[in-house]
Amino acid sequence: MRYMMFVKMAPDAGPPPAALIEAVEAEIKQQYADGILLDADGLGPAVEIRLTAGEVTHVDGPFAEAKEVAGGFSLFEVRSQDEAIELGRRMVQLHEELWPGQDVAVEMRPLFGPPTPAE
Amino acid sequence: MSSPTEDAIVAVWRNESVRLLAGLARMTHDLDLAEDLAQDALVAALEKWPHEGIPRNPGAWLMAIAKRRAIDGFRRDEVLRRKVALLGHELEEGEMPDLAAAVDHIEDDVLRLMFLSCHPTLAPDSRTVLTLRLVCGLTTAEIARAYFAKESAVGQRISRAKRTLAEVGASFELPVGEERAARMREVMQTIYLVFNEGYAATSGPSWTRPELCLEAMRLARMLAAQAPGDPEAQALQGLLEIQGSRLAARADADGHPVLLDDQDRTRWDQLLLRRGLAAVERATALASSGTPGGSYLVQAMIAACHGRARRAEDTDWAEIARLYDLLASGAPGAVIEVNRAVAHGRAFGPEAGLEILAALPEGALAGSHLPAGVRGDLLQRAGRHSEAANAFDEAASLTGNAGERELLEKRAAACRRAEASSDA
Repeated sequence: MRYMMFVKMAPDAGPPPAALIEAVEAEIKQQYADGILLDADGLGPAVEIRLTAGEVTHVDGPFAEAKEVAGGFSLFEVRSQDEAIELGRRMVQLHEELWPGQDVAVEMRPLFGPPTPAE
Repeated sequence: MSSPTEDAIVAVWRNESVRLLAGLARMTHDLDLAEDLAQDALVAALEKWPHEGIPRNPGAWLMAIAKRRAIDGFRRDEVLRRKVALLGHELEEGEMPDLAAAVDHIEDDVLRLMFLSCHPTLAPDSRTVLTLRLVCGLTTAEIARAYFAKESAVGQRISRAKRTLAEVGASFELPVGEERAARMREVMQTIYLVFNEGYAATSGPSWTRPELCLEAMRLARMLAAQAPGDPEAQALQGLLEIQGSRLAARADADGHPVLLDDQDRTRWDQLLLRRGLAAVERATALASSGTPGGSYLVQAMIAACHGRARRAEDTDWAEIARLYDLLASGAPGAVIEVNRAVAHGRAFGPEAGLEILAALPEGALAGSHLPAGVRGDLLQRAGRHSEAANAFDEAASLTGNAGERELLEKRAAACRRAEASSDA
C-alpha cells in the first residue's frame, strides 16, 4: 500500500538547522536503500482557486493565515499502516532532537491507487 | 513523548530488523544465532522502551543490546570458545558508529545477506523463501500465506536451507571479481522468481499474487541501490517495475486473466511505469559506457517497448523481434524461442512464428503449457481455427493455474465457433 508523507510546520518557521537537514538526508538515503521510497519532491507556494458562496477567487500563497504548510512530500510503498506510521514517527523524532522548540506535524495519507486485481 | 505501545515498538523493530540481522550475521557467522540475537533485542526493547521512550537511533540501540548478548553468550558457551577467539575483537570494538557513517557498511551487510540467502548450493525454491525471510524480514506465516503453502512446510524449508548453508560453510564475506558477478546473477534470478510467482502463479486459485510482486520489486530496488553501477541490477528493477505497472490491468473484475493486447492501458500504474522506464534508461546508459548489459537489460528493453505503446496496435513488434533475436543469441533456450516466435509472429506474420516453434527440439518444455498456448495463438491468427482449438486444449490440460486454464479453454471454444461458422 502506498502512503504519502507531508512534513508540515508554521509558514514562518525559517530554514531548518544544518544538522536536521543532514539527518533527514541520511533517512531518505536509508528509505531509498530499503526500496520503499518511490518518489519525493519539494512543494512551492500554493495558488488557491476557491469557490465560496458561489464566487470564484484566485489567491496566491503563501497564506498569512495558514497555521502550517507542507514543504514537500515523499511517496512510499509499504506493507502496512504500522510501517507507514513508523516512518512518520522517525521524521518527528528527528525534528524533536535536532530542531528544538519547533512544532512539526507529519501527515501520512494512504493512497487508494488503482483498484487491486481480484484474487 | 507518550510511552510507545507494543505495536509501535514492533514496528520500529521491523523497520530495523533486516539491517540488524545482516550486521549480526556478519559478526557471528551464524544465521540462527543472529536471528536469536535480533529477537533478544526486540524483547529488551519491549521491556525498556515503554518507560524510556524510543531511543534517538533505535537501530544502534538494538544492535548494542544484541552485541552485548552475543558477547555474554560466547563467554558462557565453552563450545564456542574458538569463535570468540576468532571474532572477539570485532564484537568488542568500542561504540557503534553514528548512523550516517554506518550507512554504506549497513548496505554491504544487506548485500551479504542476499548473497547468502541466494547461495548456489540451495535449490531455487529454498532461495526464494529464505530471501523473503531474511532479506524482506517476513515471518514464516506471511511467506506461507503468499505461497498458499503450509506454515510448517515453509518453516522446515527455511531451517533446512539454513542448515545446508552451515554444513557447506557458506562464506559470509562479499564475493569479489568473477564470483561476485556470478553470485549477482543468482540473486537477480531469485528476485525474478519471486516476482514471477506473483505475476503468474504456477498453482492455486488466483492468477496473480500482488504481494509477492511487491516484495520482489522492493528487493530489486534494494539491489539496484546497492549496485548503482551494475546495468543488470538497474535493468532488473526496471523490468519488474514495468511489468508490475500492469498488475491491476492483468485481471478482470472476476479475477480472470487479461492478456497484454486486451488490457485497458489506462489502468497501468503510471508511477511504476515511469520509474521502470527511467531505470531501463539508466541501465542502457551504463551498458553503453563500458559495463556490458546482459539478458535482464534486453528483457527490460522489451518490456519498455510494450510500456511505451499507448495502444496495443502501436507496439513496435519489429524492435521486439530484434531484441528477442539478441536474447536468443546470448542465452539460447526453449522459453526464449517460444517468446521469439510470438514476436516474429506479430512482426512478420503468424507463419514466421510457427516456423520458429516448429524448429524447437523434440520434447522441449515437455509438460509446459507455453508452446501449445503460443502455437494456438499463432494458428488462430493464421485462420487455422481447428488446429488452433486443439493446441489451446493441449495447453489447458497442461497448466496448473485455474484462471489460465479457463482462459485457454475459452480460446479453444472461440476457435471451434469460428471454425463452425466458416464451415456453415
